[in-house]
Amino acid sequence: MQTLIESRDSVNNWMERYGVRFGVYKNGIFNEQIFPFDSIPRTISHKDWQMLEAGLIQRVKALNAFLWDIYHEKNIIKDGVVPEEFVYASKGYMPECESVDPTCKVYSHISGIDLVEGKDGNWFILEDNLRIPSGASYPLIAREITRKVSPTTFIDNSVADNRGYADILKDMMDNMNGGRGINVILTPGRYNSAFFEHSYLAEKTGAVLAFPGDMMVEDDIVYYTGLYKEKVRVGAIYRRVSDEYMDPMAFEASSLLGVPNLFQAYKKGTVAVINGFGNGVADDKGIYYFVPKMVKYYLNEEPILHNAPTYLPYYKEDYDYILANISKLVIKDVSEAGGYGVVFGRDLTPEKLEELKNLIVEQPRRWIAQEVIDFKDLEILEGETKVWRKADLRAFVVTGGRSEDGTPAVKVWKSGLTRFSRNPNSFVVNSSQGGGFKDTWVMNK
Amino acid sequence: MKIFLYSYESKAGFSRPVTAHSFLLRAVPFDDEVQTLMESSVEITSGPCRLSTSTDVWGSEIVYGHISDPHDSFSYVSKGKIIVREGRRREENPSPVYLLPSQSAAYDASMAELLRDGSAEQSAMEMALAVKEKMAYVPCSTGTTTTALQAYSQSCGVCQDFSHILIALCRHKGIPARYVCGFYEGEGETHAWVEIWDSGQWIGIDPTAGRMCDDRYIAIGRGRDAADCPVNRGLFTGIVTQSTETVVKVNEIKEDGKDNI
Amino acid sequence: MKTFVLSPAKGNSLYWLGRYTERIYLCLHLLRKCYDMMIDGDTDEYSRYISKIGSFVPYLDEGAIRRGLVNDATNPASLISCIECANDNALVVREEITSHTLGYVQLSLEALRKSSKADAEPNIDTLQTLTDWMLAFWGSVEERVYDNRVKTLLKIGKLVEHIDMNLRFGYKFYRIEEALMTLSFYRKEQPNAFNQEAFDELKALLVEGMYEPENMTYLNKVLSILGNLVTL
Repeated sequence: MQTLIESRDSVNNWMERYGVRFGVYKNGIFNEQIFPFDSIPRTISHKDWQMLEAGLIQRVKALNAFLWDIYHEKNIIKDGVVPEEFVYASKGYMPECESVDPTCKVYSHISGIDLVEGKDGNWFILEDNLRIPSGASYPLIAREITRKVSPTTFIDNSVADNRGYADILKDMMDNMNGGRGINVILTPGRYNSAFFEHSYLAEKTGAVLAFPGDMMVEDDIVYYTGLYKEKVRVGAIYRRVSDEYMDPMAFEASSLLGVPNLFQAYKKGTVAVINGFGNGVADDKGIYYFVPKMVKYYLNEEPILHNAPTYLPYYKEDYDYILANISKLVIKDVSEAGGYGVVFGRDLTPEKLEELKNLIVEQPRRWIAQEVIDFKDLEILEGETKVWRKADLRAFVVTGGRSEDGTPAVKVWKSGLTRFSRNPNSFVVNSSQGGGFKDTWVMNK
Repeated sequence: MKIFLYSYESKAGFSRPVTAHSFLLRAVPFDDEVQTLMESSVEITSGPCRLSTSTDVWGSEIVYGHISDPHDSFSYVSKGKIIVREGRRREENPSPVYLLPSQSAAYDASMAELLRDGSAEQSAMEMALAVKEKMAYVPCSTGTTTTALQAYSQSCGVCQDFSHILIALCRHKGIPARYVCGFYEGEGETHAWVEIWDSGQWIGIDPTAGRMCDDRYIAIGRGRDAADCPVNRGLFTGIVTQSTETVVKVNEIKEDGKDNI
Repeated sequence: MKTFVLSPAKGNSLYWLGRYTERIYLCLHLLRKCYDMMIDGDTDEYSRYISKIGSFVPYLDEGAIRRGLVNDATNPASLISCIECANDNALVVREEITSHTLGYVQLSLEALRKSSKADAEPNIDTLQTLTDWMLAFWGSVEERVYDNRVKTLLKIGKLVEHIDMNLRFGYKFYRIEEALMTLSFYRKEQPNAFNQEAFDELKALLVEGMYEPENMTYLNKVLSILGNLVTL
C-alpha cells in the first residue's frame, strides 16, 4: 500500500496521458480538469461486500419491477402501498411511457446506487440514480493505472479485479440489442462534463460513440449515418442524454441533442434504449421512502439494505415527529427546481426553522426529512499529511445481461466510485463541487 | 349527426434548401364513438417521403417521417370524410394527470375570480363563460408557449389560451380536464377547446365561443395542454427563413355524398 | 469486438488528426534546424520559417521568437496550437485510435503546456521528445488500429499535409512525387473521400516540369486545390 501512495505522481502522469478529465463550466467558459484522485483506496471486506451485493441486486430488481408496474398495471398504487400522488406528481413520471414495453422489461440497466457507511459499520442507501448515473470510468481507469505503477500492492493485497466492467456493460448491451444492429453510446458532445467517460466506455465496449445528428429514424428503425451516407441499423443505444432531450418530436422541441422520432421507434420495440425512458419516477426523493416497501411488495423478501431513517410529512405520525425534531433532521425539498435543496436543521437560525416548519405545514408533500447519519470518515492524503473526510460510495448495478434461464441478469460491479469531500466541514461529495475520488477495493477474502 | 369532407393543407417554403428534416404530424381526426372516419389520408405533396404512423399516449394519431435530401419546400395534405355525432366520449377511470397542473395550464391564485361552484359539468360551463367574459379574443396576442397565467394577466389571447385557463380552473376545482385541438365547420384555421370529465364521460366545452361542443367540432389531437398535441413539429438542418401557410376546410355533405354548399 | 462504423464527422476528425500530427512532426524538424543555425548566429532561418508557416504574431526579440513559435498558445501557427488542434481531433476519435494512441498526443500537449508555463527555452533535447512521441503515435496507429478505413483516413491527412509543407518550404520534387503516388493508391481504396476533379487538377500541376514552388501564383494555386482535395 505504501508503494502505491508513494507513486502518486506516476499515477497522475498516467491519468494525464490517458486524458482522464471532466469538464467544468466556470463563468461560461469550458475548462477540463483532472478529477483529483486519492491513492488510498476504500476497502470493503469480503463479508460486507456479500451483504452489499445481495442487497443491491434485491433493490434494483424491486426498482425495475416498480417501473414496469407504474407504467402498466399500477398494482402497487391499487394495493395502497404507494399513494397515487407520489407517482403522478413526480417530475420523473412520464405519461408518454404508459403501456410502452422496453426490451425484456428492463428500465434501469445501469443503476448507480449511492451509499454511506455509518460509524457503527452499518451501510445506508442515500439515493438511487436510475437515469444516467456516471462515474464508473474513473475507478476503472484508476485501477488500470495503479496496477501498472504499483504491482506489488496488488500482489500483497487480494483485491477483486474490477477491469471487467466493460465486459459486463457489453454483455448487457449485446443482450438488449439482440443482434438487431450495432451498439452505440450517445454523448451530448465533446463539451459534456463526462465526455471522457463516454468515449472511454465506447473504446472499452467496442460500441460506436455517436454524437447528436449521427442518427436518424426511418420506418421506425434507428440508423447510424456512416462515412459515405450509408445507413447502419442501431440495435441498442446507451444514451448519456436525459429523457427530455432525447427526441425533439416527442419531448423538448428545441433539443438538438436527441434523435427525432426515436421515441416512436422505442415504442415499437425496434431498439433498446439504455437506460429506458421514464426512470425518474423511481429515483425521485419522495419515492425513495417507498423502496424498502417495494422490496417486500414485489419480491416478498425482507430488504437487506436500509434507507437512512426517513420521514414523510404526508403521514400524520411522521409529520408530528418532523415538526417536533426538525432541528436535528436533514430536510430535503422533493420539488427540486429552485427551492431549498438539502438543509440541515442544526444549521438554521430559530427564525429560519420556523419558516421551514411553516412551509412543511403548507405543502407536506413537498418535503422529506431524514436523521443525520454519522458517516464513517475516510483517510485522504492532503499534501503529505493524512486527513479524514466525508465520503460516499456509488455502486454500479447492471441489469439485462445474458443469463442461463433467459431472464435479464443483474450484476453488481465489484468496485464502485468512492467520492470524498475536500472541505473538512462538508457533506457534499459531488465531483462538480471540487470533490475527489478514490478507487474502491472489494477484498477477495 | 353531420357528415363532413375535411382537408388540412400546409405549405412551408424555405429560403434555401434544408436537409435532415424530421417531422411529426397530428392531423388525422379521432376514429371513436363520437367520430367515425369513413376515409382519411395524409400525403406529403412536396416530394417522395416514407411515412410511419402510430398513436400517441393521449390517443391522437401521429404520422411522422424523415427527409434526408436537400429540399426547399415541405407541404402535406390531410383529408377525408367523417361522421360526427353529438355524443360524449366514455371513459371509466381517466388518468390522474388530467387533475394535475401542467406547464401551460397551471392555476394561479390570481385567477380565483373566475372559479364557480356546482356540479362538474355545470361549474365548468359557468367558468367557461367567465373566461369568455374576462378575456378578449385578439389574434396573434400570444404564442405557442404562452401559459394560462400569462394570457390571463394580459386579459387577451386566442382559443389556445382560453382553453388553458379553463383547464387550470377545472383542475383546481378537482375536475379532470384536457386540451383538445381540432377543426371547426367551415374554412379557417385549427381550433382548440376543452374536454372535462364528469361521471364517466368527457364533455366538450368551447370557452372561446362560450358553449358546449356539438357535431360541428372534429377532434384531431389532445393532451394535458397544447404542448402535448401540436399539429406539426419539425426539425431540419439549415439556416433559413421559413414561410408557412395552412388552410383548413370542413364542408358538410348530404348522405348521398353531394356537397351541401 | 469493435464496430467498424464511422460517421462523416469522425472521418473528418481523423483526416485532420493526420494532418496536424504530420505538421507537428515537420515543424519540429524545421524548428530544430532553425535552432541549430541560430547557435552560429544565423537567424535568417527563423525569418524564413515565420514567413513560410504564416506566423503573424510580432515578437520583441529573438528569445521571444524562439519561445513564441513553440509555446505561444495565442499564435495559431505555433507548435503548441498545432498540438492543441491535433488533440481536439484526437479526443473525439479515442475509441477509433485507442487511448494508447491518443496518449502520445496528450503527452506532447501536457509536456509543452508545462514548459510554456515555465516560459522555458525550447531546445533540441526537449523537442526531440515530442518527435519521439509523434513517431510513437504513428507506430501505435499501425499496431493498434485494425479498421483499415481509420488508418487510411489518417494517412490521407498525413500525406496531404506532407505535400502542403514540402511545397511551402520548397523541397525537392521527388518528395512530393512519392507522397502523391501513395495518395493515388488511397484514392483507389477510398474514392468517395476525394474530390476527383481536384485530384486530377493536382496531378496535372504536380509534374516535374511544372514544379515551381517559389512562384507564388503556382504555389497558391496548388495549395488551394490541395485544401479542397478531401471531401469529408
